[in-house]
Amino acid sequence: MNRVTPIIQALLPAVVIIGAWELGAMFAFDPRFVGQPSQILSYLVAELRRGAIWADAAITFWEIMLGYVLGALSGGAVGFVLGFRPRLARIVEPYILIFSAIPKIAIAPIIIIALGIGIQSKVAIVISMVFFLMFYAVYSGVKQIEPDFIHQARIMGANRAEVIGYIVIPAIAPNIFDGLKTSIIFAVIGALIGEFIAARAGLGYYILNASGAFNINGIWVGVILIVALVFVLTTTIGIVERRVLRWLPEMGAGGNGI
Amino acid sequence: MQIVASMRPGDAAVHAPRGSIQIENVNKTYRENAASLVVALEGINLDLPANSFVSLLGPSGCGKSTLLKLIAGIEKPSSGVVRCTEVVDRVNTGVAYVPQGRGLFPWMTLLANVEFPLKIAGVAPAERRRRALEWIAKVNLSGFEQNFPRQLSGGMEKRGSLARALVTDKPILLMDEPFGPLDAHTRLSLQQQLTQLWEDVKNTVVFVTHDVIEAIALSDIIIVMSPRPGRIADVVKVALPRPRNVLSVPDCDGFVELHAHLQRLLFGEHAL
Ligand SMILES: Nc1ncnc2c1ncn2[C@@H]1O[C@H](COP(=O)(O)OP(=O)(O)OP(=O)(O)O)[C@@H](O)[C@H]1O
Ligand SMILES: [Mg+2]
Repeated sequence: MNRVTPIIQALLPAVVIIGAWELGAMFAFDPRFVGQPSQILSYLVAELRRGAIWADAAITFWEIMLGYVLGALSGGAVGFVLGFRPRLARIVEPYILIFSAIPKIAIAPIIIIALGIGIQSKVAIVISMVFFLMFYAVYSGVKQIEPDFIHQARIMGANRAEVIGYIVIPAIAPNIFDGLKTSIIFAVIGALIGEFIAARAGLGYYILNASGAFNINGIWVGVILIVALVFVLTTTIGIVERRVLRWLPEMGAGGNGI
Repeated sequence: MQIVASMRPGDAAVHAPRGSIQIENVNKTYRENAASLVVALEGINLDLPANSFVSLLGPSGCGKSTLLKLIAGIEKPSSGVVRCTEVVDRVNTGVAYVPQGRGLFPWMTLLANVEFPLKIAGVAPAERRRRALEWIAKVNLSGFEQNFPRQLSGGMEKRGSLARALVTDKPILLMDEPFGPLDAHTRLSLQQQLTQLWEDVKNTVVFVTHDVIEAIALSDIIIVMSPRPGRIADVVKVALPRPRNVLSVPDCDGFVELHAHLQRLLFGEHAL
């Protein structure tokens, strides 16, 4: 197989779907309701040239990144500590379960009332979503660590910091990456919920305006930028993950059939 | 720690030689849940001289792993004292321990695994690289330094953990069924290697096994244990001449009697 074939294979489904959509919009249904790829593309180019949308994208980006990083760090830290403190965990866990079960959409308006219409409230909503995902990922990772590994290191004379750095963190790294990957999509949803409810800028705000004006191309342009952002973040984490987790066995027997 | 030791009356063994292990009146009870207790070890007394190869032989569940964990200080006795030169009342950094389960750290290469205890001990990078490579060669794993454990076979991983345990030359080496899950071929070659390595190093080895012939071939002393609760059934000295190995030992004078004695202890009269 030469090097071009996989790229063609990867792009083929996209070409088929977009082509069918384009043809459908020309001959079968009304593009005013679902859009038409060629028009969406030219609108996207025009919007990017005009420039205002970059500011919206930047705001949403920062809401997501800040909320993601803060939520992941705090959720991971709490999961880490409780993983090693089973008695404390027994007390705290039910509360975390209750808070994680609260639908974030339901309390988003309260957060916005409390923190204002600006970026802070969106960051807080993102944190509220990412925190619990990372908490559970790290918490269950720590609880699953094979005690023999920690014992081994301590017998070799490792102190607490060395045990954490050389044993615990690598052992839970697969859980950390799982948590980070699932969190991305929830971080994006969190930021958009916030912007849909009340905002003066951001891609969610942009989409809301477009749909209020019945501007189908505008909606799609907002969606495309959000998908692009998710794609970049997920790919970046995937690259780091593959480097860091080289030691993991090749995953999934699925390729060989059941 | 001295204070703790000297509070015990009639205590002559405080300055026992490096590598010796004393176990006095040790009981170990595990709490399975709020309602039930498991007596894993009851009334264990042992005095293992330094530089001897000791096997723990006994059926599953008789407390062999528990005894090793007490010596390693990763479990505490419910009563009684374990002493390796000093009283073991915390994790015992004077031992190397090859646990029953997975051997090497999966996230480190073989080389990093074998270097790890030296790194923790503060050995300079060049020196620890040299010593790790030397031990990797001794267990015939040269060429696999950069492999992760998942890229090694089970026998290779066991040899790797042997190298990692021996690289620090600790006075006491604890091995929990290191050859248990291996095929006959790999097992045989590892038994040979272990005997040879031990004859160079001569540290104290406590070696857990289910295999009677393996125990006879390797050991100076065989401790036979019986289950529920875990007790010592007998302490048998093996006086057969060295060098010996699993293949040659059945031909030694005295082997047949020794083997029969151990079988009787393990399986009762009807075993023969
Ligand atoms: N952490 C634990 N909690 C509760 N019970 C335990 C624990 N560890 C061991 N036991 C119990 O103690 C007894 C002795 O266990 P141990 O692992 O020492 O046996 P063993 O002789 O090593 O067995 P095997 O040959 O199967 O490895 C068993 O009955 C076991 O169920
Ligand atoms: Mg065991």
